[in-house]
Amino acid sequence: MATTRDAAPTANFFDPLAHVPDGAALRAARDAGDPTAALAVIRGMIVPDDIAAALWALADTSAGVTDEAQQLTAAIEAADDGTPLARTLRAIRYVTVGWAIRSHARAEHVSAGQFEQFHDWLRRAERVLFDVCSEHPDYVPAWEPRITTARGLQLGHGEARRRYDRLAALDPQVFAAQQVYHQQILPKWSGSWEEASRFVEECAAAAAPGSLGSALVADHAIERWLDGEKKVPSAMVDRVREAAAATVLHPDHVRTAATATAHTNFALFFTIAKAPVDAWPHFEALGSSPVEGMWSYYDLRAEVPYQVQRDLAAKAAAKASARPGVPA
Amino acid sequence: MSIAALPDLADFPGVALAESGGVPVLLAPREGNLGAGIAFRVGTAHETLATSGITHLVEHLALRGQVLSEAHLNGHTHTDVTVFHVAGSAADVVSYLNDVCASLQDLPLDQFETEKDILRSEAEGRKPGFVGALRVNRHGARGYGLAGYGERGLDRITPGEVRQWAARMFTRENAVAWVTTDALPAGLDLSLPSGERMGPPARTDVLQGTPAYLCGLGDGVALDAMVPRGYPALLATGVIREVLHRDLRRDADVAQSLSVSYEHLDDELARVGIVVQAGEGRQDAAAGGLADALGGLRFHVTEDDLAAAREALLEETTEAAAAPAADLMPSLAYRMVTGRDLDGVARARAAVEEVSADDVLGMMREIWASALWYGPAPLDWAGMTPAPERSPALAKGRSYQRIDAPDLSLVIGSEGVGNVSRDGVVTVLFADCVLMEAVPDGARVLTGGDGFRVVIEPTLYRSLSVADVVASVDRYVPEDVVVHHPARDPQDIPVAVPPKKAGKVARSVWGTVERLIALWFGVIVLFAGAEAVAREFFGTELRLGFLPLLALVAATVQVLRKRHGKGDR
Repeated sequence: MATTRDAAPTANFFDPLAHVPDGAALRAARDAGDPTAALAVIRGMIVPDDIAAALWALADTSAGVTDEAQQLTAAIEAADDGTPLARTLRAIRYVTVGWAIRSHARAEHVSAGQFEQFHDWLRRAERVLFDVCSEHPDYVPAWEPRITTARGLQLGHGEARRRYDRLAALDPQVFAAQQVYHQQILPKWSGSWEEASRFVEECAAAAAPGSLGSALVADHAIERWLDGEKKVPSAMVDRVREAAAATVLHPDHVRTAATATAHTNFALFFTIAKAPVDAWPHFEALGSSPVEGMWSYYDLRAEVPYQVQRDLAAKAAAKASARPGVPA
Repeated sequence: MSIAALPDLADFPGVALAESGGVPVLLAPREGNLGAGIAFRVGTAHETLATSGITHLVEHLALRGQVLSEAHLNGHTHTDVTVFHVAGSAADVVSYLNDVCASLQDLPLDQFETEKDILRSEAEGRKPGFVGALRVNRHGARGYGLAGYGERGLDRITPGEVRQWAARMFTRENAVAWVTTDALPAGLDLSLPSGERMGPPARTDVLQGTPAYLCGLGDGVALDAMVPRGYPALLATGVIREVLHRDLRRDADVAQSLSVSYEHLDDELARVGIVVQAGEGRQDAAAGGLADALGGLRFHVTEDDLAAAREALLEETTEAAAAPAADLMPSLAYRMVTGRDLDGVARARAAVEEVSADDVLGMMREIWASALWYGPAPLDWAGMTPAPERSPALAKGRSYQRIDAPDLSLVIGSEGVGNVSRDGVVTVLFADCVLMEAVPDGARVLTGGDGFRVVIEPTLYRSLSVADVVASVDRYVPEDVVVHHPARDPQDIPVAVPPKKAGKVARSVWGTVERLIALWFGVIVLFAGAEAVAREFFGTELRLGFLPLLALVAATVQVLRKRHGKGDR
């Protein structure tokens, strides 16, 4: 067996469609550059987290201003048959194109011209979404990207919160929405730790047993670590362990595309916290189809550490189970 | 015939119509004190910016003779009407109305300046606020837009103009009176001159496309919209009220208070106004919430919301029906004098019942499409365009550069003046100038009919003299739009300080050239001298080759770097 270091990471190491229902059909439609076929597959989905994952994965293919990217944008526009789903895909595409121009760098490293184009694309997206939400106010998938556009267009925390609340009133369990709103209120987007952690606890408290609400605890802990808190406090490890048990590891948990995101972030957190035995069940659940989640925060070439840490976790877990009674 | 068409009062069986001095008088009895009044079809929106305040001034002068009366009386100048009213004995009422009408024909112009001062002090502390900004940006500096300015004409209106205004506007054709008795009181004499019947104020529009927005409102969001007048629009405002109370107050604590208004403008249009005062720290959410709510109403008007709005409106008409006929008279007089329908309760109820959800939906789309928003931040994300910040016209003429900000210039041409900046031009054409404020030191502020202003401060522009302003500006602006203000405190006259940076660059380019000449000259002389000395006194040749030249080039580069390195270019 080749070691993880030998394995040449492929562009598709992390496959955002791996845990989306009918992922293979979606992947085929995506690779064929056929948004209409992809939309037909998504139309069969009912869980907002599945729809969100599918839409963002499709829209995030070859973003930017290359010829290929322009072709995809044109194809997605051509596939817009006026349904809220097709219009939402179109809007999300505009968001990903804009964000690719902006880049993920901190604001001080983004040029004025980039910002102008970024905002231009987001406004285009927002106008589409505004109309979809006007016409179909109960359509959850269109509210989800509006939290992201509110952040990019700097419409303010109050407005982002109002949008999240509108969505949560329709469906309180959309993990993707909780994640993006959590991003909005972090200090890096001029929020605060207090506000963000209040929101995390709010989501946890409102979560039904087995649903993903508490999994945001891991996102939050990773953000803290990223901000410079290199030694993870043991209370935090306990809190995340508890969250994992209440969510993805809970017997009542119903798998959605967001389950994979939660698993990968739990795996990342326990890796950071140097608790590989705790990380293992999450790596294991993802099997041979890892998803990126927040791993790109850990390393820009996230696939390398992912594999290293996955192997370390597997070994640690095997060792721990071989010596029952000895805490890892 | 005095009024265009004597109205059909069939819907108001308790009200009779009589006439005094050619003025229609509504009559309906009531117990106790008498109430009476007279309404004229003239208001602030009939004025121009140069005469703004003139109607209010006439109203004050007409009441000047009543200062000692013990009756309860007053006058009000509104946007589209002016009303005088009184409560008291029959004798009080007769004397008040007779006196007002007589006085309007012979205003006590000896009190002219005193009343102007009173109006000025009344105006202190009264600010046009966000409503003023909405009006100016929609209507410009005319008609309804004048609400954004205050009584700017007071400083120039002449007694002659006041007399003319009163004679033209306060006529029997433009008046409707009422008295709460069943017969005209003895001695009532409302003789007024005859004149032309006035229409509604002119409706001007300077927006170049709607929906549009303004930004910078601190504590919430407001908008106004123009819709076809009538019951569908009235019900639409009721539905908006229902929806906003639910979306912005009950379900989300976004709004601290909100108001939705409907104002009849003329035969065609009404104005819908919405004001949302945001909860603490929720300004952005208030704007977004209002946009989403109104955006949604373009597509969905629920039966429940419509039923609630209908019920509220019907309740209002029921209340009106229960009131004694005499209590309706001020509003009847207002409706009559402005030429509006005189639907009674039964007809109003029937019309309200008839409005369908589709009718209201149509109104919602009109409201959306015609709205001018005023919020804390841009609303382009919801598909709105910014309200114009520049005037489309461009004055051609001589350009004067601003001394303290060379990017800016002033253009004075034979057709108008303009302030030019990198972002564009703001122009006021002389033919469209509705007000020019002038001070003896030569400064001028010209306001165009579209509301844009050009400020001329002669001290701030290169080679612009007061004589230039007099010759090239004053000459073209009609005197009847000019307000002459007294001389300013010399400290208030701006002094242009040339920007430091520009001056330094100009000096240092010369300084560099001088230094380089000195350097080259000095070094050449030095080397020539050294060579001569070496040859003369030591008998040796100095073989330096290109070295001195290289050293000179290096020194030149050094000087250039030091003086013009980063920053200056």
